[in-house]
Amino acid sequence: MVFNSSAFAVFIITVFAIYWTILKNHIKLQNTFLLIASYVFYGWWDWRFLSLIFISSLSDFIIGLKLGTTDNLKKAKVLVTLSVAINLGILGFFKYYNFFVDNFISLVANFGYTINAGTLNIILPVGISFYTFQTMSYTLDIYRKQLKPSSDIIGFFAFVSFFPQLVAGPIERASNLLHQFNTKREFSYEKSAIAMRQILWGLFQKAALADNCGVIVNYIFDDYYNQSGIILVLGAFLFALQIYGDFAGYSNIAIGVAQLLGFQLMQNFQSPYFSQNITEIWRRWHISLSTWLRDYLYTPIAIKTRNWGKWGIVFSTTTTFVICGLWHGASWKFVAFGILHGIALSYEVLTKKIRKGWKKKISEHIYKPLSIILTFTFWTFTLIFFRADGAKDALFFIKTMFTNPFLMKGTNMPFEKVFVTVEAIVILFVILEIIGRKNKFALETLGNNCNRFVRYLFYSFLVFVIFMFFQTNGNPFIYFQF
Amino acid sequence: MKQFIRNLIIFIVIGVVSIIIFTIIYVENKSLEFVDNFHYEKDSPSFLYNRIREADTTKNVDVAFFGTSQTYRGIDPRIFAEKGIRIFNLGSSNQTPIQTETLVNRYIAQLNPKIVIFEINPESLSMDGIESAIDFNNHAKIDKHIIKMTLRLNSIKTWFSLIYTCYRQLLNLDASYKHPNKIHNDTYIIGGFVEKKYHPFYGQTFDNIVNPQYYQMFALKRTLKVLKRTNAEIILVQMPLEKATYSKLGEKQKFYQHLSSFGLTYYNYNSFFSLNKKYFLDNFHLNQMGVDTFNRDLIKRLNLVQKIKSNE
Repeated sequence: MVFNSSAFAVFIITVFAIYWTILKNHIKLQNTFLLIASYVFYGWWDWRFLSLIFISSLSDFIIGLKLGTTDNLKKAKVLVTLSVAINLGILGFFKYYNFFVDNFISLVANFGYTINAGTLNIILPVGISFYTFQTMSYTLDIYRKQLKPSSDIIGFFAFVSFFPQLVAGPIERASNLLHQFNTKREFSYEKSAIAMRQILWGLFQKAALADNCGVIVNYIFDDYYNQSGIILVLGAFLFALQIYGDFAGYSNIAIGVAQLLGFQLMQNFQSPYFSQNITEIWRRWHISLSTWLRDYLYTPIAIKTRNWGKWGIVFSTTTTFVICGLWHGASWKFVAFGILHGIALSYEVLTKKIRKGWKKKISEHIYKPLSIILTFTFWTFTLIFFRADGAKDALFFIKTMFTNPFLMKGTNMPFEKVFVTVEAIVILFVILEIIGRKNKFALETLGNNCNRFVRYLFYSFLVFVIFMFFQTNGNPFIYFQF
Repeated sequence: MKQFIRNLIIFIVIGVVSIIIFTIIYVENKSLEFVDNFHYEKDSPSFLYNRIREADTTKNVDVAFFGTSQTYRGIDPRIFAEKGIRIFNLGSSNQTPIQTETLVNRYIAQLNPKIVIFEINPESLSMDGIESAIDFNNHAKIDKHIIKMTLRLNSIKTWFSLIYTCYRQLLNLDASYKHPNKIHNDTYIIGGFVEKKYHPFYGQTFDNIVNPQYYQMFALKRTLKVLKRTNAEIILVQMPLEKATYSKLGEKQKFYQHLSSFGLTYYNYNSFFSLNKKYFLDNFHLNQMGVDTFNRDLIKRLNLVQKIKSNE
C-alpha cells in the first residue's frame, strides 16, 4: 500500500476513526490495533515477508529481555552479537547474497578458477533496511545501558512494525518511539492540523514534484548515450529534485500520519539543499540514517582510531560512508556514491581551518550562496552514481557530459511538453521551500497569519496542482527498494 | 476532535468548490502546453458527439450494436438497410464494458432493439476504460449514468473532464456548437457509422496484453443482467482482425474461458472468416470493401432478416 493511493486514503481514515473513537482510552487495545493495521499495511505488498518482521521483532524482544537481566559482560556481548547477526543475516541474505556471490565468482575467475556457486532468484522485501536498523538499535542501546528493555510484547512489535515509517523511515530509535507506545496518547487539534499540512506538503513533494521530474529523468537516464551534455546535466539536477521530493515527501507523510495517531517521529529532512557544505547536507538529509550511522558505526570506529589523529577521522568517515552507500543497495554504484561522500567529508575535515580563513576574507553575500551552489552541484554529481543503472553507466554518463556538452544528438525531445509542467512545479516548489526553509517543513507556519479562508484556499490550490499534474501510472517511492 | 472534524469538513467544502473553480480558470486560460490530467477534445474523429445526439432522438430499431472503433468503423447501417434492417451503431473509441453499461442504461429502453450485438474482444476487457470515459464526458449530455461511470472508474482524469463539461453545459456555452460531419478523411454516416476514405493498409504497433480486469467483467455481467430483462436477443461477436494480427494476439484462451461462463451465443469471426490486408485500413479496422463483405456475411450468418421478421 503506498501513501499516494486511494487504498491508503481509505485505510488511514478507517484506522484513524477506530483508533480515536472505539479504542480511545485503551492503550493496549490501541497498540494491538496498530500492530494489526501495520501488518495489513505491509502484507498488502507481500504477506510472506511479514514473517521476517515477526522473526526480527521476536528475536530482539527476547534478546532485549535477556540483556536487561544480565550483568555478565561476556554474556551480554554474545547476546548483542546474536541480535546483530540475526538482523544483518536477514538483511544480508535478501539484499546482498547475489551481489557477494557474483563478485566472488568474478574475483576467483580472475585467478583462472571457475566456481559453480549459483545466484538465487531473491525478491527484496520492501523496506527491509529500515526496520532491521530500527530493531537492531534497540538491542544495541540496551547493551550500552542507554535503554531499559520492554516487557510489553505487543507494544514492542507495534514499535518495530509501526506502519507510517515501516517501509521508508524515518529509522526511529527505541529511545524516542518505544516509550510512546506505553504512554496515553491524547488527540491534539493543533498538532493534528500541523500533521495535515505536513501530509499535504509531502504529497506535493512526491506527486507533483518528484513524479513529474521523474518523467524527464527516466527519459534522459534510459537513453543517456543519445543525449547532449547539457541535457545530461539537466537530468542530473532534476534527479536531485526528484529524489528529494520523493524521499522527503515520504518522510513528511509518515511523520504527519504518525502525528495524527498521537506519535511524534523524528525529523528526517531539514531543507538540505540550503546546506553550505557536505557535512551540513548529511546533517539535514535522511537525518535518521546519518545519526544512526554516527552513533552505531562512526563513533565506535572513531574511538578505536582516536590515536591516528585527523587520519582516524578520515578513516572512520570513509568507512562509514562506504557502508552508507552499501546500505542503499548491493551495487558498486552505491559503493562509489559512498566513497565520493567519504572523500568529500574527509576533505572538509582536513581543510576546516583553510576554509574558515576563506570565509573571513570573502563577503558573506558571496561566500554563502557560492557554498550552497557548490555543495548542491557536488551532491547532484554524486547522485549520478545513485541513479545510473550501474557504476559503468554512471562513468559513461559523466564522460558524455563533458565530451559532448552542447551537441544535440537527439533529433527530438519527447519531454519538451513535460518540461513546461516541471518548470512551473519546480518554481512553485523552490519559492515555498525558500519561504519555509527555517521550519521543519515548508508549510509548517506558512500562512498562519492569514485568515482561515485564504489559508484553505491556498491548500486547495496545492491539492489542485497535485491532482492536475500527478502521474496516473502509479510511481512507487524510490526508497522502498532500500 | 470535534474542532478537527468540523474544520476538516469546512476545508473539504472549500477545497471541492475551489478545485472546480481552479479547473475552470486553468483550462480557460491555459496558454502554455502543460502535460496534465485534463483532456478535452471538441471535434473528435470518433464522432461520439454526433452519434450520441442522434441516439437521443432515435427510437425502435431492429438491431443495436455496441463496441469499440472496430464497430463504429465496421458496421454500416446502409448495408443493413438494403435488407430492410434498421440498426443503430453505438460504438465508441476504446469502449469497454463500463461504457457499454452506460450506453445500455441510457438508450436500451428508447432504442427498444429486437437484437443486441456486442462487439467483444480481449483488449476491451483488459483496458481501464479511462480514455473512452473522457470521450463520453466530453461529448455526451451529463446525466446520472455518466456520473455513475465516472464514480466507478474513479480516475482523476475522468473527474476533471466531467467537471469541465458540467460547467460548459450548465452555462450553455456550446449552444451554438455544431460538430462537423466530416473530419479529414472520416465522414459520419447516419446511424452511427464512420466511413474512412480508402487508403492502403497501414500496419500499427499494438499492446498484446490480455488480462481481463475484474471491474470490466462485473460491468459486463451487470449489463447482460439489464439486457436479459428486455426481450432482446443478445449475441456476442468478435470482429474480424487482419489475419496476421489475430495470429499474433497472445493468451486468447484466458479471454474465451471468461466468455464461455456467460452462456451466450458467441461468434469469433477470426476463427472462420479470414480476411487479408486487402480488406483492412490497419490491423484492426476494415476498409469499406471489408465492411461490405463482413456486414453481408453477418446478416446471413446470424440470420438477421428471419430473426427480425419472426420477432414482429
